[in-house]
Amino acid sequence: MEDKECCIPGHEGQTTLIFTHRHWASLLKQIVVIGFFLLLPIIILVTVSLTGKSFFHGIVLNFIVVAISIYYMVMTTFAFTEWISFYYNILVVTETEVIEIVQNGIFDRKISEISILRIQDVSAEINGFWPTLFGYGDVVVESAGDNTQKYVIKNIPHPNEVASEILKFHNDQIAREGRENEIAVGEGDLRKRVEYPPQPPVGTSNNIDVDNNKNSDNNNSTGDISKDDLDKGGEVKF
Amino acid sequence: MLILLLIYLIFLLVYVVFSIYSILRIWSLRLKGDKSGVLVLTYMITVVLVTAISLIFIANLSWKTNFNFSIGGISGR
Repeated sequence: MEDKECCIPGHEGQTTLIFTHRHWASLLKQIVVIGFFLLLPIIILVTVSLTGKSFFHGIVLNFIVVAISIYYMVMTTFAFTEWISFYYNILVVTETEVIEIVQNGIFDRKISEISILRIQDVSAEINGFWPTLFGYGDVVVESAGDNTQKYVIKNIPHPNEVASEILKFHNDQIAREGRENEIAVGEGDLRKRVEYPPQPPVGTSNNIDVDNNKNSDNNNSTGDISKDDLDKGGEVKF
Repeated sequence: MLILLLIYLIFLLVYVVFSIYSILRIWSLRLKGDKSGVLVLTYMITVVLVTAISLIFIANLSWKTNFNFSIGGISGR
């Protein structure tokens, strides 16, 4: 977590409060898979050589050399792509916004931004053996408003700390702008004061006197509402 | 066998163009103070090494033999 000028294009003037990549342990699976596939041709060639039969001559050798060459080139690019996907998955929290950059390979990039004032809920999730062991997990940021959106920032180191920091920045920002009352009303913690028009005094013609409608009440012992009662638009005694 | 060599060389050309394009794209994604430069350098060295080793092997092979498609597979002459 650093405190410096934001390096994301379009946010240069802002101060970075949190800047974090994915946790390195989230790349372990890819490292193991790539390592295995890098060693696979060597294992196969050594195993075949140990059988004692000579397959590697003539046209077969040419095919094998070309195939292995192409294989290693593709694997190198695959490893490069995986690293790019890992390294450019970034969470940035500035004074005013939470920015999430999701990079999938070289050609797929998504940048999500949410105003820190619009945050309603922030939670941290650590699920599984490896995340618990290495201390990484997901941070879920939920936006306020009718169109509630969830931003899941995956495999962040120290997700609990990050979540509490984001919430702290959110509260600081609200306090700075003096919007505590407004936010409390928006979230339903505080009921908004509504000004009602003045009520006319009791006993005027606008009030419906239910006691005067005894005849109709007697007729409604079964719970049916007569047309007269409905036309009055007032309370009906059952 | 020359057709195999030709296919390989075409693949190599496409691969090099793709790698250059990828590097340029990564360069455009760079953030201030990140470590992409080291990664791109590592990638370039790896690609050059793999290509160079492959070309050394390929240069030492005989490419004048012809395909002989027969029942039982491909055999060199």
